[in-house]
Amino acid sequence: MSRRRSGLQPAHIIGATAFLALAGVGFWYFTKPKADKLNGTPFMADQYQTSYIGMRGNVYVATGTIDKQLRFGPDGSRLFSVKMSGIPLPVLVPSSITENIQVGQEFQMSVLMEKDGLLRVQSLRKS
Amino acid sequence: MKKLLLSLLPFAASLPLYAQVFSPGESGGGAPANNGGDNTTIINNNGGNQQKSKSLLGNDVPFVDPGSETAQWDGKLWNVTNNRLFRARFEKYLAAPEDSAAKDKAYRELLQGAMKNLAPTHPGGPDIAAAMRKLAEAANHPIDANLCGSIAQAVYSVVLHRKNEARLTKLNRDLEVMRQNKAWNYEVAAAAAATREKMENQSAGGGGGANGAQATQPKPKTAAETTGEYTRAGGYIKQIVEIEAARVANAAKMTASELKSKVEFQALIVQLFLQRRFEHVILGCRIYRNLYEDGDSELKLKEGSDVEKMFTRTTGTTPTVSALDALSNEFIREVDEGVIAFEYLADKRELESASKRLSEAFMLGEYLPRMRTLPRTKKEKLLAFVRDSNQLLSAIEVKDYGLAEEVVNRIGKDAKDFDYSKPRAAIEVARSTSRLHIQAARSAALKGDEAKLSESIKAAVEIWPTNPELRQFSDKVAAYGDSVSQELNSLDTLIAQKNYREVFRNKEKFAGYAATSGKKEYIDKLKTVVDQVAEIEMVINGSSRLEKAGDPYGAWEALKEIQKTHPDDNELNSNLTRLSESCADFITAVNDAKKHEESRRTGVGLSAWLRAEQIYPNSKLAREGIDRLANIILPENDRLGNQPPRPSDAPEEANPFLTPPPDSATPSVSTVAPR
Repeated sequence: MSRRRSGLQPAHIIGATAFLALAGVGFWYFTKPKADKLNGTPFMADQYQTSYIGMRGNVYVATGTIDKQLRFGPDGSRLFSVKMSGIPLPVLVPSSITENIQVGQEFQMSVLMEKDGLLRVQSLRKS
Repeated sequence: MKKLLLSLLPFAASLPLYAQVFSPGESGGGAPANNGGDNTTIINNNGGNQQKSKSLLGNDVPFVDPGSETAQWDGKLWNVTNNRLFRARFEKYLAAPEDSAAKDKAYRELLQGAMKNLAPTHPGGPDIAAAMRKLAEAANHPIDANLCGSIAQAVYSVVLHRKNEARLTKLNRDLEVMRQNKAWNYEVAAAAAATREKMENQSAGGGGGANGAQATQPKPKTAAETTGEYTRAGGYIKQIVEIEAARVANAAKMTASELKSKVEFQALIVQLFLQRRFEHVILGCRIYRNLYEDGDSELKLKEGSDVEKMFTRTTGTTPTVSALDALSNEFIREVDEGVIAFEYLADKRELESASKRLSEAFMLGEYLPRMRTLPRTKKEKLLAFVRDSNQLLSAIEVKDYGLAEEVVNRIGKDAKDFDYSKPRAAIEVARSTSRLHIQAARSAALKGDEAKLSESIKAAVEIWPTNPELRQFSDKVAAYGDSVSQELNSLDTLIAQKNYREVFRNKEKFAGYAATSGKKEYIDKLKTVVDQVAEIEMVINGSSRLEKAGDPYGAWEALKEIQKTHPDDNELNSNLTRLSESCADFITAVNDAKKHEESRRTGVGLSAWLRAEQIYPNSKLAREGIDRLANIILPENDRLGNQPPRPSDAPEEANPFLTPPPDSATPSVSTVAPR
């Protein structure tokens, strides 16, 4: 018959460590800055192709790779062709967003679907 | 005599024109007219002289020129051996049967019997009464045309004249007796008055002796007595003068009546001479001589008339009844010789000479027994030749040289002596000249010179209207003209249908017709169409090369580009349809892009163009579409920042919620243009 051990056991130490880690993650999650958060529902390029009409006026979060810059407006607005799920889509980056955007870079963007189907970027960040 | 005869021959030949056919019009010689005869020339004489003396045998008689075988009459010049009138009459004579031998013989015997009765050698002297009986009988024969009756009537007129003359002679004798009686009565009355006066004077002297001296003196007459004596003497003288005047008047009547009867009889003889009734002329002349035994046989022709001139100029003497007698005999002999010559020549198949001899005899002695009794079997030999000759003249007259040549060949077979050099020459000249004009017309047609073509055809028609070569050419020109018109209409139709390919396939043919028509508009139309189709062909060829090089999108795009300007080309559309199978995704993207762009949905349209470019990166179509829409979304060149209004800012023309876009997966059918 084995003898029951008393005191701080290794299992107690492991459990306390896990608890502390979980608590730290929870703290980071709830205390991180709100600006880094992109608004909108995920964007589905296939749906855009087939029925963009129902998507107008909505804000989506889209992830895509910069294919090429189509236009650069006098006010600093930029028009890009962005491939999302392999489909090139026109994305207008207003002059208020001054982040460097280069061909081949992948971005996460919060975009507004305009009336004529143009995606206007509200915010973005490199993914 | 011979000279006169020669000059009279053609004169007599022209006589049918006067005696049997011609009826003078009122227009006079000065008026031009078409007589319808061959070789007839209108002579523009002044009608004044022609119309001055409309008298028997005056200017109404044709004047014949023996040298040219023409007769001038009433302002016209006739060729006596070659006019339609004579030809027709001669042909009728040839076709007519000869006179019945028995009837003709009986008629001729009557005339001969009358001649014998009138001959000086007739036993007991000329028997005019017997001759008249025979003439009356001969007048019953149809061939005589009652001319013997006319002679008998003329003789009867002479008899009446003679009776009248006898009556006047007796009347003059009675008047002479009356005049003598009147003169005697006057002498007796004068003598009685003288005696009575003497006795009265004596008785007055014996009663008063103391006054003896007074008794010797005649008693003076009272005025009444003297007047009475003069009145009685005047009455006698007046009666004698009247009687003498009546006698003179009767004598003058007798003279005038005789002259009148002579003139009438002569006129009849001359009329018979003009009618070529020479037997009747001879009869008339002999009766005349028996009736007028005073030896006055001079023809009372109007001085200065054509006939009078003809006689005086040729014979140099005054025309007489005897001259007509002799001429008639000479003409009868001429006719006999002409017929003999005809028979001889016809037997030798020298039909042209035979025709001339018989026609000469016919002109002179149409009614002479020799001509009337010529058997039809002999004349038939000549009939075909004469008909052909007449047809030849008619054919040449109307310029039907084809028929003329045919007739010349036919005549040449039958008539050994036919001189065909003149008609042949005329035919050949006409043929050559006409051919030259046709050649010129053909050349003009090839050059499209319509004016020259028309002029040449007109000239050819004038020379030889029935030329078969001309007819063939005209038919060809007409057919060609029709075909040109039809082909040009066809060109118009094809162009209206935009069936340029058909035009292109037949471009050589249409080019030829357009050039022939000389219409520049058609040449320009054809050039435009051909250039268009050539351009399409060039693009199609380039497209084929791209396709073979593994670039179907490029091939399709090239065709699509040219289709913008030529949407109706079948070949182009066919190639587009074929390529659409291998370029379906690209075509779908392009069609989507166009559809959205047209609906002013710029963003989604741009995405479709981007998708098309992704499929075919070298797409010019997509690049242009991207540039076009990108420029709308974000004008790059406007440095002032003045953006054009975005299509999305404008109100939508169609509600996209109510009319969702069609399934863009299906390629548009617009790639195939509707037929």
